[in-house]
Amino acid sequence: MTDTTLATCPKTAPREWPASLTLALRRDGERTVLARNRHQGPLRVQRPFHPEGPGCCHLYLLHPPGGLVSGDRIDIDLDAGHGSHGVVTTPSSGKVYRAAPTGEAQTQATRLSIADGARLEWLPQDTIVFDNARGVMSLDIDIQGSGRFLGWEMVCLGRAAGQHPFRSGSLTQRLSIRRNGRPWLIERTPIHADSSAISAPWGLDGKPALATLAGTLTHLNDSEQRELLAEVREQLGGWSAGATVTRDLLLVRLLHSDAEALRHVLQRLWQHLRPALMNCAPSLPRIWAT
Amino acid sequence: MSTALTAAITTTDTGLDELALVRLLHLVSPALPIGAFAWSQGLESVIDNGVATDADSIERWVGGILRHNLTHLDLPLLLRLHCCALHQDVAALEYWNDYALASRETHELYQEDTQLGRALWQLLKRLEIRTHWTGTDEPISLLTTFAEAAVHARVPARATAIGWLWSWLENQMAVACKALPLGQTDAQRILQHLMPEVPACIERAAALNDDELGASYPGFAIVCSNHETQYSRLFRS
Repeated sequence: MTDTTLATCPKTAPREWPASLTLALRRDGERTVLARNRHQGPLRVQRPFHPEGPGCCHLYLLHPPGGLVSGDRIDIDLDAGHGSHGVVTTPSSGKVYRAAPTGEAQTQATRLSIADGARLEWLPQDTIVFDNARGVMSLDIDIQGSGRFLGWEMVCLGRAAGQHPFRSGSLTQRLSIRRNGRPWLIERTPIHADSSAISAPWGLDGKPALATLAGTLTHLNDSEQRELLAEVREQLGGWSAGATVTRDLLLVRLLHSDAEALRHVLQRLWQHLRPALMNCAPSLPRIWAT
Repeated sequence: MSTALTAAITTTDTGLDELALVRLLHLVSPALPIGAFAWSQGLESVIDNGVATDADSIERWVGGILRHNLTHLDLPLLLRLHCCALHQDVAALEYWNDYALASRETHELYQEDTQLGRALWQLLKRLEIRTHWTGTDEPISLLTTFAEAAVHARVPARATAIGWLWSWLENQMAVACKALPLGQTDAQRILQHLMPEVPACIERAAALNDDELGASYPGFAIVCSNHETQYSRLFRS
């Protein structure tokens, strides 16, 4: 064992620190307000921002410990009420640290509920999964009626472009979208460091950074959807990304050798999609620039 | 025929009697008129993009999809749907049908599953085979109709899963023979290599809990998405 390997487990990391956050966005006249903001443990939203005007509420999820150690569990519940519009992001990468030798899994469970007539953009920065981690991450999105969603999940296995590769451990990712209570999309991606999925072309194709972007297109007709898909494909180019529209859902899967580059591709794509999917102008959350 | 041999044939793990076996062979035949030959599930795309260029790389691709995607999704879903049809549990049948459809990663994979599912369902109707599926205009997965047909034919669950895998494997080889083209003998050799893995895949699939279902990877979804814009195509997925 070298010092660099040991350094992947920060000495100051707190032990087993469960955290939960319950948020509700509501439409109040012209304004989207944060009507509920309850937290347990270190995860929180300090205050809502309205950089684009009163109708759209920006929330930054802050988690000062910065990551998950063995036995940690983060629960996020966000309820977007009728007519509300929320943009949620994080100030920095999430981290799933190296698990203790006998440690339990590190879990993050997010549930987003989007009411009829609500809009929600879910744009967290990437999650870095350290070597020897045992991460379990789920994102469950429940959409009613004309509710709209645009968002992504982005993960990087190992750190710093190959300096600390993901040689052991596992990550299980789950993305579920339901519409009016019925399954719309279910993706479960179990990744074990020793699995052939890491290098196989049907798996991660040897690339440590992966992402899925999803957006609802129920408000667009067939030809509008086709046009949008063509634009997305033009933006993506190349072979490490694939875009499709199935059952009124835009789905883009991306693989990249570099997490930073992947983040820029996603941010550009999001900006491009925002007018058609969310009826508002492209904008960049200020916190991404810091 | 010795009694020992008779016993070996009639009491295999799959519990398949002779009429059921004939009906299973009918169901998995490439000649079944549902149009399965028109779909490649991304294989044509990896042949086009240079990932699969010869017998070895075809075997690696098909073997990988078999061990991961199919073993963790299609097979356990098929076993569940078979159980639902056997016990005439229509609500659960609809639940797992929804689950299967939501698990199709791309437009073409969804089209493939629902068009084949619909085609087999219509064939069963024309053959006056009664099914439990009631959602006449609702999209139906091929897994659901296949399970229904197998239950009607009194084919037990594991034999149904073996039949399903076999028809998938054979179809993938047919795709490779047309699109690469892969030689007939090479295709037979790949089948010979992968056949011994089938029982273990069924075993693993049968042991999965509901929360362990699914193995969708970006590589496969990207390949299948990009098939939608492939310049020259023989297959519809």
